[in-house]
Amino acid sequence: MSLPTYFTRLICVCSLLFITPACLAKDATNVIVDTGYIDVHTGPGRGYPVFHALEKGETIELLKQRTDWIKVKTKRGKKGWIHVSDVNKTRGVNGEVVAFSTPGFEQFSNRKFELGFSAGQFENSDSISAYVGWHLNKNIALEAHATQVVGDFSDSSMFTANVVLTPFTNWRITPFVTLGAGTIDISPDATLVSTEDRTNDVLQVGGGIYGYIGRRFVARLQYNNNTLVTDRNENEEINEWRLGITAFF
Amino acid sequence: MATRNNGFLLGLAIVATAISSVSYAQDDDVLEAIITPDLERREIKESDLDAEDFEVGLYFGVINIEDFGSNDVVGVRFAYHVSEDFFIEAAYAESSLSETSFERLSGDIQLLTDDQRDVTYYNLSVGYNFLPGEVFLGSKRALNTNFYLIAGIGSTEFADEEQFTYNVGAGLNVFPTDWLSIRLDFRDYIFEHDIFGETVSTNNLEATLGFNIYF
Repeated sequence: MSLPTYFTRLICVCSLLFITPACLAKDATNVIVDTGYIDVHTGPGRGYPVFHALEKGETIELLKQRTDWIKVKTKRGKKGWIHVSDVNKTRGVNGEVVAFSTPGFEQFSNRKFELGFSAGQFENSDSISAYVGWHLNKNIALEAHATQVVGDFSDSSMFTANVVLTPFTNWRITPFVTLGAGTIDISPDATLVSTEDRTNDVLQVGGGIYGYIGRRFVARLQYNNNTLVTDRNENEEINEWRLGITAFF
Repeated sequence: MATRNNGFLLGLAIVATAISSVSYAQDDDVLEAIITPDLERREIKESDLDAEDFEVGLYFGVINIEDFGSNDVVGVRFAYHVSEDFFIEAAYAESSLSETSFERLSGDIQLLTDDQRDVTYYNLSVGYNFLPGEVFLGSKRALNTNFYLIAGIGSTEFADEEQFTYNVGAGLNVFPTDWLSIRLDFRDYIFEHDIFGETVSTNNLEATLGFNIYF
């Protein structure tokens, strides 16, 4: 890789790095401890040592959240992390109810976004794919998929936009169907006689199941029937299987 | 006339009853409104706080691609922390290939062109954080640390070919502050290639140092 590319990459990432801490400005959220005591950990995890205990009636400021942990600041300026289940044992300074949710199955049926990746078989080749999904409502989602197929004789990348319909949102193992369209670039391996890359439109009909694992994870098994629209008399049909993991939020 | 009057009275009575029942029902609310100040929000929940579940980072190091020597590698990664234990991440990196021993010993023979010596890989992995702890700097400062195990799938591209690649590894995060981590990562990239004719399975080891921001 050339030096200028290194630098553009570096600048891109650095600018990203600087933007992020700036978005920390929100009103202070103060709450009062409403239980016997609350353990304060040095880090956002149950394994980090407890170095302080909040007392009943103490006012603390909630600073930010990472996974199931909330960073708090005491009146004396001590900072540490408390668990979400403990923050719900506090109340707002004006008597508001503190109700932080822990991710569970309920969040799965009310999810807004999905982020997932999978490994699979694209006809007889290995494939890897990643996707993002956005839910219009409980039943209908729009998804963008990127798939890389690594074959013995050619490599392909496929991009599709899909509509996904999930009819039964309250089931832990729940089926879905999908329709999609996109393009596929096929590049034969250079070790064979020189051939040109080709690009085809692709239509996709598929279906599969989600299986709720726990927390923010679901497993997703999917079958797609891909129709490659070619110039020849017959279109090419390719069967595809994928098994992957999806995080939702 | 009488009927109209009756109708009017009936209407009045209904309205009066309606009002009184409403005001009875509202008595509690009215009292509450007087006692407690006008509340802007009834509930404090996760949307009132910034969540820092995403992570972006840059890493540098050395990767050894079997038969092609050890070379610099630079990459970017993006991760989402699903829980304190698990995260998913996507990474992309670039490196290059040196000459094989055969090329060096044989004189002029070059198996690959310069372009074919560029290596890029990307992968999608699941990581598991474990052994959280602290390291101590002198007597005043303690930095949080954690180890992680990671495994995933991806693709490695060089010599005009994509190779389906598994990766497994482990590493250590040190947190100078809670939104910055310094990460030491050791990874094995496993793929098959047939550049030398027959298909061989290769283990390609990488060691990198990275800087990551949580946001």
